[in-house]
Amino acid sequence: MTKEAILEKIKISFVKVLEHSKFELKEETTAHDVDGWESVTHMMIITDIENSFNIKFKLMDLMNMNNVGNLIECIQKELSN
Amino acid sequence: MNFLNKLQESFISNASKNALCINDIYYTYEALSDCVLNIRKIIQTQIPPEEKLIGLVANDDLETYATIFALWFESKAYIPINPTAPKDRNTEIFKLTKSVYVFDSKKKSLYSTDFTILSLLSNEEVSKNHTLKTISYTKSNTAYILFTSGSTGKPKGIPISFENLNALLSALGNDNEYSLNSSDRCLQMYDLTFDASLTAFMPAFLAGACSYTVPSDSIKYFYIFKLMQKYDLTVLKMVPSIIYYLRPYFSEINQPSVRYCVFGGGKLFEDIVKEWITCVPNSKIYNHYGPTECTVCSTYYTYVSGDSNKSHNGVLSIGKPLAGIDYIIINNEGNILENNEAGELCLSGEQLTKGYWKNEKLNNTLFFNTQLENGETKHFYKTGDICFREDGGNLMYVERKDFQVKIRGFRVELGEIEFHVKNIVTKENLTVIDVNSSDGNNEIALVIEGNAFDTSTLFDHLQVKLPNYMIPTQTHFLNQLPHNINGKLDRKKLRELITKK
Repeated sequence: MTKEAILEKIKISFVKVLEHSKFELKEETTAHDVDGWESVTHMMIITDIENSFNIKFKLMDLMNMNNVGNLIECIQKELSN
Repeated sequence: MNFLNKLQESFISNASKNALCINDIYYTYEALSDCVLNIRKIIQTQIPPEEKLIGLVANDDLETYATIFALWFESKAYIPINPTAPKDRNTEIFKLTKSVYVFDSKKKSLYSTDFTILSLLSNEEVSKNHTLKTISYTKSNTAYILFTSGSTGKPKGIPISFENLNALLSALGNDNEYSLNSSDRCLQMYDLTFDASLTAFMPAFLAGACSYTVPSDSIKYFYIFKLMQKYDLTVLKMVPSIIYYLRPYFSEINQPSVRYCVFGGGKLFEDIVKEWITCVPNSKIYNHYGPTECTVCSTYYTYVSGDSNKSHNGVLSIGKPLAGIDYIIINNEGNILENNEAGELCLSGEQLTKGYWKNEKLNNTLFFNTQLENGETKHFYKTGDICFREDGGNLMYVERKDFQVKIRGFRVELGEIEFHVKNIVTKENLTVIDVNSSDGNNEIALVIEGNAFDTSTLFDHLQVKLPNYMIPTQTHFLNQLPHNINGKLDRKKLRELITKK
């Protein structure tokens, strides 16, 4: 899957969990840039993404996830496994 | 024991050892101690002796911890506020305690318009040549006042005296079950406005151990895992929700360095502890219980491996009282109950607060004197927690008596949230309820009767009125709120309805 396709698909999870679409997701986007993206909703977003891509992240990867770019890399890594 | 003397001794004898690790930077006991001295000079030169209640913006840095100790050494109390909570609410807290002086280590304090701001940065000049006076503390003086959510929309203050705190630290210190030493590396995940922080950092500082803090803007459970791995932590004190979040990843966690794991601040489920112990195979596990009113921890339970643990509805026992704590369990008529009869847990002892801050009405309702079987009359506090004592003498936790719940370890009165929602949503019937989310944690749901509408104005309002953890994370619209035969809102039915949606 291309980065663009992944980005489009993860946006659906963000909108679903955060219940708004007042944000732009770019590789350098962090939790600080998106309203309502904090520790509790982060986990809900992660779970939703895991379900929609049918993957399971490693704790080690989640721990080092600092922005949307890292998130996309992790998804690509899991998809190739 | 006098904990302030012991603290000073620990600062001296562990001078070269690390006291704190904040954002991967270590600070020694000597650095902490120097910082305490400088802040004491500011206190002695800037604050009149009669000013006892001093505000503290609880930042995650050396200066903030040093300020707590400096204030104590000067026989003053700290009133902590969370820098990420709304300014209005924080200002209200300082006004309730009539605090004039506020310590804030941030360069530009948000509170400078209403209060006199003190910090090492802004007061360097004044304090340089000051020689320190030694001051002895008074047992009955206040050590800190914490504010929790109150159903009238106003936060309620719980003052804890030096005597209260000394009783807690003595009881913990004399307990051989839990004994820290100067080579321990301890987790400090709690916000300083949450009293559980005291049982995280105080035993560590008294033992000369190092505390590892968790930044407030981090995702706590990931950050804790990171700290645990990177620094081979030996002592973990956490809210149970941390392991509820980490549960899907237990197979990736193996931390043999952990020797103590203490939970406190919410219901601890036995099944998850059984799984968690495989991640920390060398650890003893304790379940702490206690309301803020009785100085952090009143009872605790020691987990035993295997199937002989005490639990009720899957919730692990809260065990037996700390030395110096007395308790009774009473029914609605105030009669003392026998073993295995559930009623309201009431606590007494040296750890118990003198009463809520300027709130006589609440003090008359929740504090009372009663004569025990041995003829002795004692002062008790009604915790609002329904418990019973099993035949082995362990206390079993059943539920909260009122609708006060714990969200991410913080105590929340749903009534306070409703109060602020109703300021904006004036026409519709509505309620705020705690629900279990799919991962086993508590969440706050707002349920409004009628057709859906745009709630953005409402949530904008809540953002400025309430701390983040009190803002509902779910909103539901129902045609009708369910009521029982007595016309009371049927919370059980309501929970079913909204989880079905």
